[in-house]
Amino acid sequence: MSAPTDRSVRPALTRLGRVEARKMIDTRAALWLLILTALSAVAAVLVGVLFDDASRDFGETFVDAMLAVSVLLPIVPILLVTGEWSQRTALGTFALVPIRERVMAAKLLALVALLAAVTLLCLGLAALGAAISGDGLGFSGAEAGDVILFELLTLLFGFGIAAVLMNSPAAIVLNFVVPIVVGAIAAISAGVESVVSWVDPSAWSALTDSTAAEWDKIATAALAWVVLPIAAGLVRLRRRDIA
Amino acid sequence: MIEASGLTKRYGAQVAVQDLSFRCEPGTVTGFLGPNGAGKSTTLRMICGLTVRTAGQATVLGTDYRRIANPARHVGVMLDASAQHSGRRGRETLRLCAETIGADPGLVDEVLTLVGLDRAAARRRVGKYSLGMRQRLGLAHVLIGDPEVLILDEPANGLDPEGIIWMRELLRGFADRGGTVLLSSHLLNEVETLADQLLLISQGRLVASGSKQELLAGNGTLVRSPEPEVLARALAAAGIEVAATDGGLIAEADPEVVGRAALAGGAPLSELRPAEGAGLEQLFLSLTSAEQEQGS
Repeated sequence: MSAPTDRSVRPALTRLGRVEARKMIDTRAALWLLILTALSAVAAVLVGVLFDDASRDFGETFVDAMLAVSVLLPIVPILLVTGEWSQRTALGTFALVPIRERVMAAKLLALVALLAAVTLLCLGLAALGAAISGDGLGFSGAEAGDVILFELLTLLFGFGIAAVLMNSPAAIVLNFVVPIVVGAIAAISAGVESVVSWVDPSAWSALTDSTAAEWDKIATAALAWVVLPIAAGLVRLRRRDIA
Repeated sequence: MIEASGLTKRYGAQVAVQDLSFRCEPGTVTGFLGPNGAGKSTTLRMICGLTVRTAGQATVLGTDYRRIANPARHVGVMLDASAQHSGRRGRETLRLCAETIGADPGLVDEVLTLVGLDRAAARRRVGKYSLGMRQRLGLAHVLIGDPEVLILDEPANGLDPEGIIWMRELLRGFADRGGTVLLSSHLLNEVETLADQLLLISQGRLVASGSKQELLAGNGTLVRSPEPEVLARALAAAGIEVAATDGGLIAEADPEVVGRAALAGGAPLSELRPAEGAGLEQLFLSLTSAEQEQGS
C-alpha cells in the first residue's frame, strides 16, 4: 500500500491501476479462478514433459503454457469489469472516481499487469519443465512476442465484451461462444469465409503456431472485437445511471 | 455545503425528481424525508454524479461533485451499504477504498474500531454481514477520507436501536465540528431528533422544507376539553381553524391564542400544548398519504 496523498490531488492512474489489480485477487471467486488458471499452465507443461515423445525445447513449452492459460484467463478481466455491476460495487467505485473513463483505464492497466504476471509464471514453468526433461533451452524471441500478443488480444477480447455487456454470465458465455459462432458462419461457404475472415478472432491463433500470421486480418479482427467493443462500452458507461 | 437548484430527473415520460432546490449549510444536519420511491436516492445520486441529471445543477463545497479532484477526501458518500462485493473481506474493502483515495492506510484499523467492527468482524467476508454491519462498514468508508460533507442514503436501515443512537451521536458530533450532513430516511422518527433542517419530498417534488422548529411551529396547538362542543364553538368564534385528532383538536394558532379563545368561550381545558412530534408526524403522513394511497 502506498503513502497517503494530498487530499486535493486527483489519484494517479497508476494508483487506481494498483487498486484494480488488487480487486482481481482479493475475492474468493477471483482467487480460485487464478489458481485454476495457474494449474492449467502446470498441467500443460507436465503433459508436454511427461507424455510428448517429440523433443520440445523451452520456447515451445512456454507457448503451450500460454495457450493453456488463455482459456480461463479472460474471465479475470471480464469479472473485473462486470463484477462492478453484478456485485453493485460500481456505486462506490464511481463515487470515489467520478470520471468513469479513468476507472476503465485503471482496469486496462491491471489487465496488462495480469498479462505480465502470467507471462512470468509460464516462463518459470517452462524453465522448470526444461530442467526436468533435459530438453533444449531453445527460445525464439519473436515466437514469444507473438504468443504474448495473442494472450493480450485474448484478454482484451473478454474485456471488450464485458465493457459493453456489463453482465457477468452474458459476458463469460459470449467470450466462449463468439469465436465458435464466427467460425461456423465462416464455414458456410468460401464466399462468406472470404468476408468473415476479416473479423474472425481465430486469425489471432496464427500467432501461436507455425502458420503464417496474416497481420492485416489480425488487425481488423482486433478492431472489430477489441477497439469497437471497448469504445462502445465507454460510451455506454458515460451515459449510464449507476444505481 | 451542498446546493441543489432545479434538479430534475425524468425516465422517458415518468418524472422521478421534479425541480428540486435546497441548500445544506455547514454545521447542520439535514434530514431528507419521504416515503420509499419518492426520489430521495435518485436525488442523492444526481448530486454525486452517478445518475445523469435531466436538468438542474448541484454543487458540493461549491463545485460539481465530478469536478472535485479527489472527492472522497472532501465528501463522504454512502448510497447503499449493501453494494459491496460479497466475496471480499470487510477490512479489505476498506483498504481498497483507502488506497484509491490516498488516505493513510494506518487509519483502516482505527476507523473499523470507531464504527464498532472488531477484528473478527473485519476478517469476515461482506456476504456474511448483517445489514447493520454493512451500514457500519459503509460509515467506515465514508469517514476514512476525513471529509467535510456527508451524504448518506438511509444510513439507519438495519441498525438496532443502540446502533441508531450511536450513529446519531456520531453525525451530531460531525456537524457540531462544522461538517455538513445530508441524510435520507423514510422514517420520521429516525431523523427528527437528529436533524436541524428537514426536506420533505413526495413523488419527486419538494413539499416542505425548513428548520425543524419552523415546521413544528406551523403545526399549531393540541387542545383537549371535557366539553368538546363548547371548545369547538369557542375556537370557531375566534376564527381559529381546527382539525380533529383523537379526543382533541389541533388548532392552527399559538397555545396562548387558543387558551384565550377557550377562556372567552367558557370552554374548560384538560390539555393545551404545542402539537410537537405528533404534529410533525401528522405533517409527514399527510404530505405522503396521497402517495401511499396510490401505492396500496
